[in-house]
Formats: sequence, structure tokens, C-alpha cells
Amino acid sequence: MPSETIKHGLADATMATGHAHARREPRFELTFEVELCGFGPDSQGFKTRTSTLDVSEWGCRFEVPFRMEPNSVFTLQCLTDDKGSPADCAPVMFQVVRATPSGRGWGIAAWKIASEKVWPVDLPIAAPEDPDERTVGMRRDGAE
Amino acid sequence: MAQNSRVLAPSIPTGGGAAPDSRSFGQRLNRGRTEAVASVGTVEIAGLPQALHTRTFGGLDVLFVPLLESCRAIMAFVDRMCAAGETKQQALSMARLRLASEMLQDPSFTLATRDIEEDNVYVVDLEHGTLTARARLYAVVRHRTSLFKIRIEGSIAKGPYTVQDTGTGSTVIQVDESQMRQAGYFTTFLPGECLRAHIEKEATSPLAKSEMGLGEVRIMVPVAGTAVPFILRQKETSGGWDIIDGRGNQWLGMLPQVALNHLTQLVEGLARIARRT
Repeated sequence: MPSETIKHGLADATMATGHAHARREPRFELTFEVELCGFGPDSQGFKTRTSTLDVSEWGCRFEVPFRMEPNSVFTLQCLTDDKGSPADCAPVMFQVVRATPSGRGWGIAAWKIASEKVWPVDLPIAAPEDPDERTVGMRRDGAE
Repeated sequence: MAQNSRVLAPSIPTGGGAAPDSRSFGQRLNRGRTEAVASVGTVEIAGLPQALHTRTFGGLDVLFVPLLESCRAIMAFVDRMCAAGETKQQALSMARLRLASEMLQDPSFTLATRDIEEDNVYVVDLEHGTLTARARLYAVVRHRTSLFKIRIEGSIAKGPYTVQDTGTGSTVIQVDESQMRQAGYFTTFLPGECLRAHIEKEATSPLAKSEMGLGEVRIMVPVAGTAVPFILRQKETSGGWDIIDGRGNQWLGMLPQVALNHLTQLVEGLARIARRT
């Protein structure tokens, strides 16, 4: 398993406090080829392929050559596993949390909005640091 | 970034200039905001795991028509995608994403869990082309407030829209979109209609429960889709018959002689049948 990149306490004005709890879930630098389908600025549709930079049970990060609107909803379908073998995964809906310019395009951080399994591997679940896990539970149920 | 990353935007027909109404959801919504009272509401898009929630712009006066317009634009988008060779399911899936994304660009909307009991709940079913709204209306008369829970349902493509009182299960009124666009329709006119329907129902219910007297004929007459009760009551002295509007027990007049002859024959015929059985 690649090294974990757990990032604690990142201040981000665009994320609510409740989301910050959920952001503590472990991220893994796993590269999956994914297909994205959604709408960008001015309701321009896109369907594109890229690779994840890191993933977690509920989120992921990747780069695309165009801007994706923060808060917009899109589908992500994982096409291959981390070894490059084809994966049989259904499209899952995500919401763009953050879009930041990167060297070759835009870095996108996204959260899924339903509990379906996204990745072709089972990610280890870390014990929560905060004994009060309710906020994470609420986020996973869809509450803000 | 992956080497094979590519944008396939040209393969997906977009709203762009070809759409009959290219305004964004936010632009549509702004029109109704000037006199709006903050109102909570959720919009459930069938097929989307979460609902869209607003704490301020959920009222029928603010949201119903803009949402209807956005849904209509999205349905046109589905038609264009299907015409371009996309499957209906794929087109619907894209349409849900687009509608949700457009609404989420308005800062007053956020994703929230479904099935929240709110004052205003809108359900968009793009597959069946319907828009349903469940809401509460308040009719205020002389410092007294009546609360009505209603359900508005109709086709996204075109009206009319049926307004049902969910408390009684009765249809209050069928409305056209042009009526709903009138200022104050949902805050003044529609609550008034609910109140009127309620009063009518109360006025007719004692009639249904009251005992019938001798020499009395009751008849329900369909008028514009509503059953209106009438009573024909024989006078004890003259033998003539009164016509009474059963909705308010209001005397309307005397039965004319021609109709009286038919009624007398009818009553005598029924009496003969009753004597034989």
C-alpha cells in the first residue's frame, strides 16, 4: 500500500467545520484511471478521463485541463485499479469541493454524495481521533 | 495529470444559445426575490441521492415558477441529447447533474439529506416529466389564520397544475402557469381558494348529514367539475316546490309549472314502484 497522506487540520475557508472532521479520514496516493462526466462553467458539458492523485473512502483529488465549478455535481467512474487492470465500477456522483489552478490545469478536490463504493479496492478505515464522530456520520448521511 | 485526459464537450449538446431560455437558475430565481419572505424548502431531483436545500428561497412564490422554467429547459436538453444519439437514461442522468449543478451555483442552495419534512418540498421527476410541490398555505381573515397543506402537481412541459388539499384529499383548483406567475398568487389568491373550498365543504356537509323531510328531493348537479347540491322542497300549504341551493341553504325560487308536472309524475311513479315492492 502506498504511503498515507493524512492531512490534519488544514484551514480552508470554503469548507465548513463539519467537513473538516470528515477530511481527517485517511487519504491514499492511489492512481486510478477515472472517467468524469458533468458540467463546467456556462453549463458546458464534459466527459473526460484523468487519474486520481489521492483517494479516500469519501473523497478524491485529481487534475483536469479545464475548470470545474465548485459545488457542481458530476459522476466519476473508476476504470482501472491501481495496477492498471480494468475495474468494474459503476459511476458515482461527486460534488466539487475545491478547484485550484495547477501547473497544467486545475486541481479538483471532490466528495461523493452517496454511499456507493467508488474504488476497486477496500481502503483501510482509520480510527477517528475525535471521540465525537457524529459530524462525520452526518456528512456521510448527506447532512451539512 | 493523466496523459489521456481530454475534454469531450462537443459530443454533449449543451444549453448554450440553442436553448429556448438560456437564463441560469439564479437569474430566474432573482426575479421573485424582491418581496420574498424567507422560507425553507428542499428540491428533490429523482435519481439524485441528496436533495437541494434552501433556508431562504423555498417559498412557492419565489421558487415554483423559476424551478418549473429550469426543469423545462432541462427537459429540452434531454430531447436534444436524445436527438444527438444519446440513450434516454444517459440523457436523464446528465440532465440531473446539470439541474443540480446549476442550482448549486446559487449560494442559497446546498446539498442535504433527502426526506426532510419542510414547509415546502419540491419533487422533480425528469423521467416522467412531472413537478410536484408540497407546501403549507396560510389564509388570514380578520386576524384569524387557517393553515392548509396542499400538493401542486403537473407536467413540466405544460399546465394545467392541480392543487389538492392534502388534508381533505379534495382538488381545490386547477391552475394555469400564467395564473401562478401573477404576484401574490401563492400568498393571497391560492390560500383564499383553499379557504373558499373549505367553507363550501363545511356548508354542504350539514346538508348531507341532515335528515330528509317528506316531500323533499335532493339532487347533485355537476357544475364545472364540482358537484353542487340542490334541494327541491314541497310547501305544506300551497303544494308548490321551493328550489334551494344546498351549499348555503339559500332559497333560489319556486319550481316552474312545467318542471312541477314532471316532478309530480316522477314522485307518483316512484310511489307506485314502492307500493309494488
